[in-house]
Amino acid sequence: MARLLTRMDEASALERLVVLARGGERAAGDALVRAFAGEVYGVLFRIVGNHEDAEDLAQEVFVRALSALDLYRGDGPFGGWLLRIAVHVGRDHLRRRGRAPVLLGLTGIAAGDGRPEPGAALEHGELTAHLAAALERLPAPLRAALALRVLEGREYDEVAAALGVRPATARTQVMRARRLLERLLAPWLGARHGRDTR
Amino acid sequence: MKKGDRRRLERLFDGRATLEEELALERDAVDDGQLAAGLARVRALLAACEALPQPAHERLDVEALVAEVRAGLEHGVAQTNEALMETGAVTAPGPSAWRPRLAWSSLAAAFVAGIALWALAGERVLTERAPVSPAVEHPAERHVLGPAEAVEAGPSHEPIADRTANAEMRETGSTPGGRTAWALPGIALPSAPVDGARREAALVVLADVLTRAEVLLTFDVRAPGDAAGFAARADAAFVAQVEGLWPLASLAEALLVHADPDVAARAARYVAARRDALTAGRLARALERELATASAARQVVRLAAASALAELGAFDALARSFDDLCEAGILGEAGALGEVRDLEALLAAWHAAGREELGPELARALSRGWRPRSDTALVHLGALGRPGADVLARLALEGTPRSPSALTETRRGLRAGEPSGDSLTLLAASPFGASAVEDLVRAERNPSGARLERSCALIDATGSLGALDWLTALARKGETRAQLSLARLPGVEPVATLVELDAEGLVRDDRVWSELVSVDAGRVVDRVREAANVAPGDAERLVACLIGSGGDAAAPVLATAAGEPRLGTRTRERAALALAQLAPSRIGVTETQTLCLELEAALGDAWRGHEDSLVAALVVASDTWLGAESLTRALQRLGALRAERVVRAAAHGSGADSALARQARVERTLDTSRVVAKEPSSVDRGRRGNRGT
Repeated sequence: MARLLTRMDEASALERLVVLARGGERAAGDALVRAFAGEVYGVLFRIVGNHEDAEDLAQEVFVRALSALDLYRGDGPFGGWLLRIAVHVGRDHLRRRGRAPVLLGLTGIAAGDGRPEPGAALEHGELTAHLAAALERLPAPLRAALALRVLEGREYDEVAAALGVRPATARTQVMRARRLLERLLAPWLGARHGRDTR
Repeated sequence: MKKGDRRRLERLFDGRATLEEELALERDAVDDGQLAAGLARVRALLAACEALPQPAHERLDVEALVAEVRAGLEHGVAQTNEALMETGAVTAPGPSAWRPRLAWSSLAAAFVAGIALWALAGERVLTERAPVSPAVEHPAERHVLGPAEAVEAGPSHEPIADRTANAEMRETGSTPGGRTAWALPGIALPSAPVDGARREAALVVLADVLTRAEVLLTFDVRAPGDAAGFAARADAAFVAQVEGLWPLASLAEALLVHADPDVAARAARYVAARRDALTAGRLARALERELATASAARQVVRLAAASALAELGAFDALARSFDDLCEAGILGEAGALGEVRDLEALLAAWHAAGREELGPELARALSRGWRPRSDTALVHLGALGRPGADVLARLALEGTPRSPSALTETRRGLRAGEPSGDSLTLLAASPFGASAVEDLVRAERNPSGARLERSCALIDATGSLGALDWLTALARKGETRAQLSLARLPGVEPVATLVELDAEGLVRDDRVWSELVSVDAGRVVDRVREAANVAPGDAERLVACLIGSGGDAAAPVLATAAGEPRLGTRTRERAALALAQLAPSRIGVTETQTLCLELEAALGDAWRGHEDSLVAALVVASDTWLGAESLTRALQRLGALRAERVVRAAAHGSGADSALARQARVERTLDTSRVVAKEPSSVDRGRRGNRGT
């Protein structure tokens, strides 16, 4: 695949792969999976927060995508379309999971009085653990927006396309996610740095 | 916190803030506690985000994922598209692109299985069928026995299975003899022994049996097109269903005009497969009957009958029907019926039978209207030898082979066959004639004999300069045929090549030079002028080759050479003397006029020179070509002394030529010139007097 992409323009190569896969060419479908496996997995990991789920969901994403290739209109990058499916699959997964607390190294988070000093928390990685827990509690769209923009570093256009919203909406969702996180993590953030987290 | 500050913090959090903005935030935060706290929170949050576990890409087994995805697709794990609809990734509900294929595949498989089971119902009969007479074991016999004990001789008077026996078969699944047989659904045999009804019932049975046999054969990967297998299956199935002795071939012949074209076509196939002595006659009669009908639907039958006749090798009967076949569209519009494959089978059978003498008929029929739609047809045509090649040439002329593969097959067929002269002419005029010829001849790496002759003939027909290298290589080996073809190629390049070969002593046949000027003397003239400028030696060699062997057609070249001042005097002189020996009457008027103009100019130039021998040679040539009057005027312009010298030179010759004919003219010119020298004013009289003598 990499060799293929160096030979041809990436977009046209992907387009061709999509066409071939749409025509039932298994090898092309496989190539698409290989091309986007890392990206899809990465986004899913950011959304669901653990490797196993992300890996399983990646499979689901690709199965769904390849099953519905005829529905890909080609009016945007294939990667964006795939990302959109991944976000949906991730959000769906979060809904099914019912926002249950994830492990993600949270052992011991509840220890102590629950209001550690932010500095100490950072030093011990506790803030990170609490952040992970807080991310789990975020509404799925906000979490996805935060993951794509802040954790993945994607452009707002891309985030918006993946979320199926306008870029301005995506920005708003990221803003709301930050505020929610600050509120959820206030015990660890606000003790030393004030409470202006509206 | 100010609203603007919150926005700045948001920009910092989501990465939109530039470094300058961040520094500005820090500066402002020094004096603003709330901003400082907000900045601290954002930074702490960002730091925590960065500290979150990163995706473990190294743990991701991509190949395993690929395998799982593929397995998921194969097992239909794919979810409905509702999820995609929710995401907006798709805008309209639609079926999965893969699952419909699976569904259709399943449906098709079920259908095929159903058909196979239905057909196997009849096939079971084959495995547990009633004993049959030797006629069944030998399909050449025209009568097939049913399981009834009695064997009667009459073709249509035997009792067909009686009501009881057949009812028993259908109801119990066993034959009267206790053997299991599967009832044929939907076939109601008559309850009363009425001849007509029994025959009709037998026809119904046979039609059904033929359908089963064909279906079974279709699914028989071991012998998908086995005609004998088809007939044997049909025989066995029929025997299992109908009692008594039945003239199956006769029944099948009756089915040849069945209302259902498919049934009739199967009957034709069956009749052909039985291959008895009367088969061809039956088919031919059926074909004639079919050809008399105008129904387009009956073309299936016509085609089947024609194809069956071809399979039988009954080409005479088929050939007799060719015109009718064409008119009926069998050979003309077969493609429109999607029956190209059958026509290709016909071609293949034709080829296999090796009846090339009927090829022209086929070629005529095919080139009249039929257009091959697949390369396979071209392959068969190519295998037909000369007739096929003739058809291919005609098709090529019409531009029928368009795709690269079709052109390749056409070229291959032309290579394999030996197109006739007419076809070669057609091929030469075809859009790809030249390239086809180049391809043809290049395939002949070291041809000799007939192959060389054929290849050269192809080149001659097309005048393909692309074959120049190939011809040159052969000509260099001393192949006269190749040298002749080389001489026939257009342009000056072949001329130069031949001169080179002559310099190497490889051109030994004078016909090469006569051919060179016969085809087109103009290019040789061009070459002489061209070479005189850059390589006078080549031009002189060319002229030397043409002198004596170029024939009358070389006259323009010799005239040019005689007047070409860049050539040596000796060459010009020889050219003029050779020209003098040619007969103007054998050269076209236009050529002669052109030549005379050149000669006059040459003579005028020569007067100004001092080479008396050259002038003398030109005088001799002028005597032949320009006539006495022009010659006398020319001599008068020389003056008496010069004219006498010239004439003397002409009389003695220069050693270039001494042919008797030339000598006679020289003598006559001498007489004339004597008159010129002594009595310039009485030249005309003298010449008249000479001619009078």
